[in-house]
Amino acid sequence: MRTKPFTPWAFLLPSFLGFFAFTFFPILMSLALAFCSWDLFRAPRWVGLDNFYHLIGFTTRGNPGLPPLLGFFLGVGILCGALGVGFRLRGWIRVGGLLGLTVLAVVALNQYVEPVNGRFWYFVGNTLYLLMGLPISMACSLGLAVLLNQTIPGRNLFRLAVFLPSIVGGVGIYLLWKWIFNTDYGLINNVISLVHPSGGPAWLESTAWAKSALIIMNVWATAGGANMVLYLAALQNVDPTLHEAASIDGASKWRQFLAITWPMVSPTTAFVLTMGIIGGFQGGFDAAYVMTRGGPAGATTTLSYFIYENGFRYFYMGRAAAASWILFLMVLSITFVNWKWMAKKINY
Amino acid sequence: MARTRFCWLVILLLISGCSKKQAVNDAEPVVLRVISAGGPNRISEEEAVRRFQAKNPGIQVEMLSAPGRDYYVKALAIMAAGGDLDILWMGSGFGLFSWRGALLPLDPLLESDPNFDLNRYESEVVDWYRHGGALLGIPYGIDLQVIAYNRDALEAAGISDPSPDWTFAEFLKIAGELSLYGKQNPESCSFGAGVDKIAPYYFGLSLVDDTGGRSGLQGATAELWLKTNVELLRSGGDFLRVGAQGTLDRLGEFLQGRVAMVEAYTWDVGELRNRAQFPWAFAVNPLATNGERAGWASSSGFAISARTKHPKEAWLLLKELVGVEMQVSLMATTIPALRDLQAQYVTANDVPGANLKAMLEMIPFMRESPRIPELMEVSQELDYWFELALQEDTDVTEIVPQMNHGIDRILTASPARQ
Repeated sequence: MRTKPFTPWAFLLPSFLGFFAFTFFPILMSLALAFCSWDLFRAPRWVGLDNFYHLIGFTTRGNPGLPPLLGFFLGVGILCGALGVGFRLRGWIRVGGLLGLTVLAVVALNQYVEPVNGRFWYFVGNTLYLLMGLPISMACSLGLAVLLNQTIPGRNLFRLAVFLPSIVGGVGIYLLWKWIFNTDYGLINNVISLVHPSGGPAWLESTAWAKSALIIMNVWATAGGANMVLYLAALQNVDPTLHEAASIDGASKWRQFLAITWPMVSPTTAFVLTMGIIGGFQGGFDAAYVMTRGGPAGATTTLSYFIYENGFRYFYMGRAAAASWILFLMVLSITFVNWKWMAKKINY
Repeated sequence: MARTRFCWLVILLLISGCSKKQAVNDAEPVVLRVISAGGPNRISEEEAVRRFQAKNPGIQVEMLSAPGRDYYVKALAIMAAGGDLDILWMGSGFGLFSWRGALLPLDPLLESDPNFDLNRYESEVVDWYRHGGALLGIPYGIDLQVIAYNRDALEAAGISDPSPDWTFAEFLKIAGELSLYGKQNPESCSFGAGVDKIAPYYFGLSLVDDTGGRSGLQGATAELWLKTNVELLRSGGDFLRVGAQGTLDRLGEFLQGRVAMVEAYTWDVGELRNRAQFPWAFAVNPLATNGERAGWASSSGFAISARTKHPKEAWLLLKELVGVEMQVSLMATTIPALRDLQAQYVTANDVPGANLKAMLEMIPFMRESPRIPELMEVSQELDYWFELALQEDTDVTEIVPQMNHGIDRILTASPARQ
């Protein structure tokens, strides 16, 4: 039976209407808003690139030995040169060289220019710092998946137990960990005080420990979750004859893991890493809101929390929209680099 | 055929969606919506509403509460989203509303109401509710801060009660002596004093300058203020960090006898009266390093939304919410804004030897939070640098210029003022 072309469109229309009204239109509006000043009470006012300037702009330091503009261009030149040299290197030296030369260039640049809003870059740094929990969480997920892939009594019970944190509501977990991390009567410091009379650190009140505390909590909450299930599925797809052959050849368990398991689950690793990076850049708001309010001294403020504060505490909607677009561009570029890099590492 | 029917359906749906909002029917009862921060004041607010409804049976009142420290943000968000609010509770966040044009000028309503005498209210506090010359709110209570001390602890350490003209240096000296005594006598208070931070006004400083456009934490005095905080509040000092930034409960630590002196606020009186197991008393704030006395102050009041559809009815309710009965019912938590009720404040909260009149004595020295639209952002900037100075080994002479730079940047680049 020939279907009228009109019918599928009729079925798709509600979805399209929803998409345009609640996704596409707000995205377009947020882009327009990024160039406006709007406090929700008065009409939006066009300010051009002002919001972007106040977030990621730079000003010259006014170094007396050098004209400000010349200093700025010199710094940019050093940065471009560093990147140029770095990209000519090969292998791991290339990564190290790029990082080292970029740091050198930034240090040089710092002599002549300073960010208009240094705090924004600090929050970018916080977001990146918290992303360090991702490889730890991935390693734990893989480790748990390997363990739970064994034929052991009560395997399903263990699987359920490690999966439980990921189905518990976020706020509940944050409140629980807020108590666990409490300096005076928290679980961790109580245990530490048994062996160390002066007690443990001020986990959530110290600039030195707050980020680490959030990483620990995140690893606990995510290690046994969806990533572990993905790894478990990937492990069950590894052909057992490969392990049998390696075993006959005398390969140790560790050697088998490195030579067979790890390459065979690499597509899953790539997926988990990509999604983790995207989620990591966008995340951090809920934990910071419940546990630390972004403090102490902004140590746990991530980009998403910064956007929330600008939008819904200070009502700087334009600035929040601009920050959202900067975040989007960061995620897009890092995902692109990650995707290109991973493409060479995956064994299909 | 099916296509035609579908097109008609879509057109009908679109037309029904585009219909005009139903016009307000004059016969419908007036409904006023009041939003407040709730908490212990809620009972008094509900009583005021009941009195109002008894006098005005044709007007309905709906009460909304947005408890917690996000009250202002929540109220602003409701207004921004077009929510119908008629009356709003106001406190130190008044500037967040006034700068955005969210409040109705009350002067025309005042002029048309000969029964309301604004002159009976504490004039300085009334002025806090003015913006650009227009009166945008009316206070019912005055909130301020004094020093509460454990009289037993001072007596045990052989320290006499603070004199009315004590200085900030004496305050630090007493705190040091109490801490020393506490270390030698474990049954006494462990810490001489507990504060969240030693406020800038103890050094004659303010968060922003008189113009409201620049940081007020300038020069060597600001460095001394920060240095004093760092020395006293770092672990092992004479001061225990309690309150907003510290996780320990300010009043709880005092009531448990761990801290001998704390900053006390008007809303603490009821709690102290009911829970303290030892004799306590209030002292006026010590004279600041510049020889002047100052103390944190704010006030509670009500304002009418600029978007109200019923300004006259809202004015009637506002008068009830800031009236005599309301103020009398709240004497355990705030000082009445009506001057002729203030004398009752001490007798209403009668605690022998507690020197409650210290609260009233602080009225001439009130230092209210700056009524600027960037108050939350500026306070956060201050907290950021303050925490950094406290937690990391950074030279305060480097921190203060950066703190000022940060505050100035917020004030000059604020979209709220453009």
